[in-house]
Amino acid sequence: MEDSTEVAVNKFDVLFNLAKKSFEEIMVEVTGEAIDAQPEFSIAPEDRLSLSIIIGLSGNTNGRILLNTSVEYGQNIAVAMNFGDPLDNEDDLHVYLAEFANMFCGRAATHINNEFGKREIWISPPAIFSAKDLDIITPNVSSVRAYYECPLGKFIVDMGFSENSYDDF
Amino acid sequence: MTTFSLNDIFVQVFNDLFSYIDINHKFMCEVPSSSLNSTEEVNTLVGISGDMEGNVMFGYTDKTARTIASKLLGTDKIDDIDIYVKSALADFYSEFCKQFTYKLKVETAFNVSSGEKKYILLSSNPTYISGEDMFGAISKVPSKKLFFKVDGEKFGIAYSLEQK
Amino acid sequence: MSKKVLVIDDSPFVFKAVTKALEGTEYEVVGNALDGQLGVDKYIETRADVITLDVTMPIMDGLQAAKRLFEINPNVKIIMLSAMGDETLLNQAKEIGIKFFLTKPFQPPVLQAKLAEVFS
Repeated sequence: MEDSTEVAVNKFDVLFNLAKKSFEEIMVEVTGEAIDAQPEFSIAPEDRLSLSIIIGLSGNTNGRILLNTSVEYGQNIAVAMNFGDPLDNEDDLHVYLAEFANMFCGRAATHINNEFGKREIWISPPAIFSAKDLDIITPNVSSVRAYYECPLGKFIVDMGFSENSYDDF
Repeated sequence: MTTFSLNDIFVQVFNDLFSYIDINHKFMCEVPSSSLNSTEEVNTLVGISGDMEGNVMFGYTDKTARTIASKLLGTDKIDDIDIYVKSALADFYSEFCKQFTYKLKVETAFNVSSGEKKYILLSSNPTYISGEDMFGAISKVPSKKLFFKVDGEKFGIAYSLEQK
Repeated sequence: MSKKVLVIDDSPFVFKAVTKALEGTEYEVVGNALDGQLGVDKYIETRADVITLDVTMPIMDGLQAAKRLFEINPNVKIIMLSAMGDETLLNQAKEIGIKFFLTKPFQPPVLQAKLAEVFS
């Protein structure tokens, strides 16, 4: 009989794999090219603006998904979503990335809830942050990462799960 | 939906928590906004989901982060905002949102006739965000910003929540 | 004569994407609405030939908006857009009378093909 720790680890693996699958599917649909996770790399050198999309998770599993990249690579995604044409103005970057994030997390929620046969998680609307020396930390979560490099740039999908539930009700 | 005010609940929880950790605090004003953005030095983001969905963002200065953390950790001074400080701050904002969702559920229960489904309100793990030249875009739906003073420094709660 | 398209979606991106995808075609985007209630009002105003309708929106969601639109015009043509095919949602939408569905993101030829299907 599996102990609860092993069950929890397996469940996190399932959740992470479904999050990766969702990201890969959305990227194929936006760019037309398949992508696969790769060995670890780093992005956003200190003099480059970092960009991160944060998606909160709650329910039977608490945590968050971070999609980390740079402003430059984020702009590449936005242009791809604009069917290859440059953006009309700077504000559009966040509009397009918000929609990208919505599609990604909507896809992830559907895969996860279908896999578990019930409403396993709820997903909060995405938040997009950019800054120099961007520092994002979600304490009290264990996280795993998948690294992607493709013609649009470098992206890190970072999924963190809480060991303790933040919802006691 | 109901006639209670989300602002009132946020202000109530703010007053309760900052009184509890004994830091000078005061609600200043509310400002409606067309979208939920931030340019503060430090932000803590909490996602809300369930029957109400959106985000709550706490925006404050580095100095305020240290003031709160020093009270939480029982020290006179915080030299470095390290993982322990961030963890303490995350716990603080987590507690804030737990109290907010609890009060909201209680408020809502008075307006839900018996036999209706259980009202679900969940908050995700708080995420601490800092950096130079910060820009955060959370939502393009109408939001509200509440301004406070904490130990003389500005402190903001910006939220965008909609009934599902 | 152009066929009129109304976009009802709380994402400004979708309005841009649909407008761009239909440039140079027989379809003209005549308006957009960021929530279901505004969408219903906009339909009454524009009497669009077809509507692209999002599911999750503030004030009035896509399913409620669709019900209202069918009350106004039982023959209104609606394409429901969603991030992924959620079976429960699809079934609810079909029960209301929605016959056409499209998953986001979509490329221009896919949207154009769907519109051709709607008017065939």
